[in-house]
Amino acid sequence: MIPYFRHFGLERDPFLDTADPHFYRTTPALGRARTRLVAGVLESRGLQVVVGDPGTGKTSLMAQVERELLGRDEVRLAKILDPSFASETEFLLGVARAFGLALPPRSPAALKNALKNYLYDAAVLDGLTLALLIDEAQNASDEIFEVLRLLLNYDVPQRKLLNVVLFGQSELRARLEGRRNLADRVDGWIVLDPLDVSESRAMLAYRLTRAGAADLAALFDDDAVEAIVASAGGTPRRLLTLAHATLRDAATQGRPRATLLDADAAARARGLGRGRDRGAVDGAAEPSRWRFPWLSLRAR
Amino acid sequence: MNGRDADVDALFERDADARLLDRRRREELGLPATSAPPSAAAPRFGAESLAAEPPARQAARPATLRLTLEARPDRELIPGALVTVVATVHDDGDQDVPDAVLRLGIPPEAEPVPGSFARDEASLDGEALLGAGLRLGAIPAGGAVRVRFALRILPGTEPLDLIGAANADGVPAIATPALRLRRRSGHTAYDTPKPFFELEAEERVDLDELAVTPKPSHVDARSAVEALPEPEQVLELPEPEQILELPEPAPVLALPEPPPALELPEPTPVLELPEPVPVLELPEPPAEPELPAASEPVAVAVADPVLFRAVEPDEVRALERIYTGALPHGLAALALLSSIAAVDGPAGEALGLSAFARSIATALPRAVVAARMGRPTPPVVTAVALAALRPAAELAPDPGGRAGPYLVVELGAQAREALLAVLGRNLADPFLRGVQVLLAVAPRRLTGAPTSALRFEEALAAYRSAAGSWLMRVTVRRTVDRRFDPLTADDASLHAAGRAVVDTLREAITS
Repeated sequence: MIPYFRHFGLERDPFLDTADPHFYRTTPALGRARTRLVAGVLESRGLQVVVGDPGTGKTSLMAQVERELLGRDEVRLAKILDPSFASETEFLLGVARAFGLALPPRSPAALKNALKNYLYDAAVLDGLTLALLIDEAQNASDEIFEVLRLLLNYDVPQRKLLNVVLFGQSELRARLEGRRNLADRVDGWIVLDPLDVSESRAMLAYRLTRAGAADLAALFDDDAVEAIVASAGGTPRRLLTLAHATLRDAATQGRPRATLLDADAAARARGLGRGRDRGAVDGAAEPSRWRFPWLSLRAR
Repeated sequence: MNGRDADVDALFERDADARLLDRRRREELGLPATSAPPSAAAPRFGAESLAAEPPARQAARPATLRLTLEARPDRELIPGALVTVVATVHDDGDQDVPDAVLRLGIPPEAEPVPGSFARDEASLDGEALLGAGLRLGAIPAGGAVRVRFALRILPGTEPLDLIGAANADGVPAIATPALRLRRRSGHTAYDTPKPFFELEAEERVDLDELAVTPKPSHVDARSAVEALPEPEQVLELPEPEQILELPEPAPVLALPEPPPALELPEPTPVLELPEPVPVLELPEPPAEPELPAASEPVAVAVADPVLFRAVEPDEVRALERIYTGALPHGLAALALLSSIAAVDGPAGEALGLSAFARSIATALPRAVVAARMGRPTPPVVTAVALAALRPAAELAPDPGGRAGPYLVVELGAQAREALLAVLGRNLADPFLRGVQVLLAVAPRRLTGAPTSALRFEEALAAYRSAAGSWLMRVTVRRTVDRRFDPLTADDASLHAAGRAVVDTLREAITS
């Protein structure tokens, strides 16, 4: 079976929902976030937190931070992809393992002591900067947050010995704020907002050109782009999913370009309506953007 | 300090809090910040006193995923090198992982070798692994699943980072950090190192085929590109006929200045002489003074040959797409230069510039395809095309009478001298010569535009300057490394200048 993107002469699938660096496109906000996070680690400022709704690019941002820090010999990185550890002991073993340390199972106190010794040796004696990146941090239990607090407490006057960056969905913020003793230690909060219309269009165009298309207009009617952007509501993952489904439908129909019909069908299949459709249902006024197409052209 | 190098026993024996307290005390007292001795005699308090307890009897540990990435070789890589990547997903717990999914992200400047994907010893389809995620199924307690594939390194300068993720519902997961492969510093050659593992029979065919990496000779580059798909579908370049040429030799090229040319033709005195007297004597309206000019001024007034090029909005849009796309900067520069070069009209034909620009426009799409596929670019400026130029051809004056908009360069004596100087140089490198020719006929003015062309002309001057600097840089690079390819190298200042040209050109012709 020929992949749908071959139908359009593309070399790669432009709309895979992965943190593929080939397709990563930064926005000014993401660029600032990355800079802040990297600086926070390099300055050993302790705890930083990134929150955003599902699909807003947290994992991609984490990958970018990781790549940035990889280039620095003085940084030791550890990565936890899912912190849903069942106990304090498992978490401590997991953190140690993420730093390449194969600790045997012991009591939590002994493991904490061993981990602190490692932090002391690496950060104080060897002068390294230790960074622990935790994705899906909303899955961590309160017990784990308490361990993190204790590890973050282990510091010298000049700097924290362990730097932690938490990436999680919006409920993470509420959970941390419910633990004042940890929330107070957060050096920086970063909230990932949805993309605006022009950023959404730019993201689609960028991915298409990276996959081998001449531009956005080569594969999508402008109406189709408007529909996708409106239905996605600025969420990058939803944007990619809809663009993918739209193109796939157009390929199935044998069309050379995706049309409004394809985009609407893709949105409907996912229970997503455009601003125009919702307005019609609710009897609310239609957003002016749809009455004046040139506005969206200007935003390109 | 790497975790793997740590003395695990010592980590348990020493009292971490005591060490920190000791350090703080020493800092306060101004003593050297030596570490506390790793003695078991260090004071222990409270729960920390349990640090030396015997291993606790553990209940069955829950499933825990751990992803490790390895690659060999992982350094001293050159374009064309094959790297074997091994991703291993372990279950560190005492319970099975029900359904694990593995994803890998490969660097943009590397490509997986088709057919090289294997899980343990069975081959698999790699698209899922690099895309939505490869379902690994259940992983037994304490077991591991190993997935490996070959990756070919492409030319470029971006970091080569491999990033992986493994997950399963409700199962904690950790991963080694992304793996950074190291390029050989400054090396752009091609080589075919062998993968470190022995290939299975079914893999061998694909790998062997693909392991024949192209040598940087022109013959191989041509043959490699000839096998590529039709270029017309990949890039919508402007029509070759319209592409063209241009005016004056950029000063940046350090071309020999022909100052005497300013003195030789001297048209100005002729214009000044006849004017004053007749005007004073005749009461006639002001139309007269120009008409009665003597016969000599007529010869002087003959217009210089002009090189020009009509500007079509569609072409400008095509150029915009080039500059908003991911085209390598060198290729974008050549596309712009050959698209705006003023080579239309009798002068362009007589000098052979029209055919020259057309040959570059024809070659560009193939180069774009090759660049996008990470292959050596074919020559876009050939010795044959250069040899067809006729710098000494007789040129007729400009007949005029065109409607705009047109990109124009007057081929006056000075400009002609500069063009001859460029063509007369004994530069062995066709690419460098070709760019110099295009710069020598790059336009200076835009006429007949609906709005002011001032910003465009300023941007054009800045571009000529940037292009001259770029040419200097790539000339030096090529001197050092003959395999350096300026078409696929990035040059931010040149690209920004090119973008400004395109933007201001659009502004000027579409009001």
